[in-house]
Order: sequence, then structure tokens, then C-alpha cells
Amino acid sequence: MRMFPPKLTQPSPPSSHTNTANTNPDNTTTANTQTDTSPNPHNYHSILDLPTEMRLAIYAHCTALSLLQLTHTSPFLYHDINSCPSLYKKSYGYWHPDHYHVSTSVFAQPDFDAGFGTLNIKLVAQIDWSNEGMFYYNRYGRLRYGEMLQRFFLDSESQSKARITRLRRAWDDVNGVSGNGH
Amino acid sequence: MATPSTQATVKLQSNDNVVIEVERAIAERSVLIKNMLEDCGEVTDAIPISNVNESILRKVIEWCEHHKNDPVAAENENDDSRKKTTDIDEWDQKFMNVDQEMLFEIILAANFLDIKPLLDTGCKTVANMIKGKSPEEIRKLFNIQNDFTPEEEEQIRRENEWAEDR
Repeated sequence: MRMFPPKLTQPSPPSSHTNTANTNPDNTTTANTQTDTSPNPHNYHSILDLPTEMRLAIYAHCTALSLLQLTHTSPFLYHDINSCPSLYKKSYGYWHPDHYHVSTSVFAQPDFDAGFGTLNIKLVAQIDWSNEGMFYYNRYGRLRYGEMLQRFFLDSESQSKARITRLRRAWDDVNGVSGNGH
Repeated sequence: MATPSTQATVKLQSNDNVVIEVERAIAERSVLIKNMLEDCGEVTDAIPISNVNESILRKVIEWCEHHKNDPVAAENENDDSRKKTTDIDEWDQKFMNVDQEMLFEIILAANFLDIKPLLDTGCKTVANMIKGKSPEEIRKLFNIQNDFTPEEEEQIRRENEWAEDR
């Protein structure tokens, strides 16, 4: 799926920062590529004012659900986070076939046809229940309640296994894993 | 390589020219300063900490003082992924209970001075501020302007609709 390009209205980097090659782990263009992370006399009022490297350090501590919400705040952060898949794929709660058995994963159903172009709710398989549970339920949970009940109570074991096998194969295809390595 | 120094204190100079004398062991929580002292040996002049002002430098020193006896974490020790890595000890939570501007300045100073545990604590604090909040609440928190076009909002809605809702 195509990501919309970063806007020209993104916050300008502080003038004392040097725009050079970016340092994100995916070697892709982030929304703001300044790399001089030394503190300077500028005032930092928002996460948007921070140098790229510092934003990446913050993202590294965010859950997949938090990162998803951040991407929905502005085009700047949408591009910033989605241009760095290796970062959000390591986040707590990001979908992975090995975690499919955990209870919260019944919510997640990656849309492999759409690819893994952007972080989306279908790739959020786990949440931090104590801090994110209420928000998740209010925003997304109700929509999935029927399906969750169906999977818990109505799916036969063979249906369940078949779904997991299908998802695992698709995951391996997308990630270039050959053979059945699991 | 300079001769190892036995000096007990070092002077740090903030960018607004305030000199603060601190125990060497405390200053050496900063890898930048530690390496500098190892390379230079005895340093009698104040070490200029460019772009860190007095209030932030004092805050950083306060953190280093409290954590001066902490074991130094091995490289990549905290590199495990897929964990809820946002647990912060009580003292650090209180320490980080500052306004947002100061919080970001502490994060930048920790990065500049190479104090990884302080940098992690600052980043975890910001991550905790985001956790469990909606995009609208995050915008308000960080003063982010919603400049999505209606088309972009529609694209996001499509990306995040459940398959069975289509």
C-alpha cells in the first residue's frame, strides 16, 4: 500500500541542526533527517521538535498500539514511523505468528493481501492491558467482539489450526522465510 | 594515553557559563566525560558542556548523584524487543515529573553526555505519556497540528478497518 508523501509543512529542523544522511535502522528517508542530536538553545516544546535520532529512541520504547496512535496524529509522524518498519516490528504487541496463541491475538488478523506497507490495527496483536485495555476496547474492541466470541467458542480445533497455518505461511512468504522453519 | 588521574572532583561549565564542581565518580556516569578524563588525565580547568544550560546540567548531575552506585549496564543489555519496557523506578518517576520542555532537554542532554540509563528513562517517560491515549489526546499533549487532508484520513480509515467490516 502506498504511503502518502511527507508534507512540506513539516516542522522545520532547528537552524543549528545539520541535515545530513539519516540514521534510521531501515536506511529510509524519515520525515526529518537532521542528525545533530546535541542539545542547543532552541526550546523543545513538542516531540516534533526533537531530532530524528531522539524520536527513534522514544519510538523504541512505545508499544505497537502507541505507535499506531502516533501515526494517526499527523502526516509527519505517519511518515516518520512507517518509514521505519524494522523499528515498529520490534515493538511490544506487533503481530507475529509465534504469538498467535496468546489470548489478545484473537483480535489481530493481518491483511496479507494489503501487504505490510504501513502499521495498522490488524498488526497489533497484543496490548498492555493495564494501560491500554480501556482505550483499545473503546476504540477497537467492540468491533471485534463477535469475532472474538466465535473464535473462542465456535471454531473447531481444525479450523483454528488451519487459520494459524495459513497465517504462518503468509508471514513466511512476506518475510522471505523459506521452508517450514517453525 | 595520559596518566590516570586521582582527582576527586571535576568542574563542569554549562553553556551559560556557570561552573559546577562535582565528584569525579558522579561526573563519570557520563561516558563522554569519563572518556575525556581518561584521555586527558588531570583536568584542572572547567570542562565546557556546550549547549547544556545550568538548570538542565544541575538536573542531570542530580540524577547521576542518585545513580552513582548503579552497576554499569553492559552494551546491548537492554536490547530485548517485544517487551513492555516502560517500567520506571519511583525515584526516577518523580525526577522526570517536570514540564515537557525540560523533559526533552534532559533527554537531549543525556544523549549528548552519553548517559544511556538516563536517556532510556527519559524516553520511557515519553512512551508512558503516549500509552493508552487516542490520537486526539496525543495531539493535545504534544501540541501537534492535525494537518491530514480528508483523503489521507480516508486512507488511514481504510488501512485500519477490520476485514469483516468491509
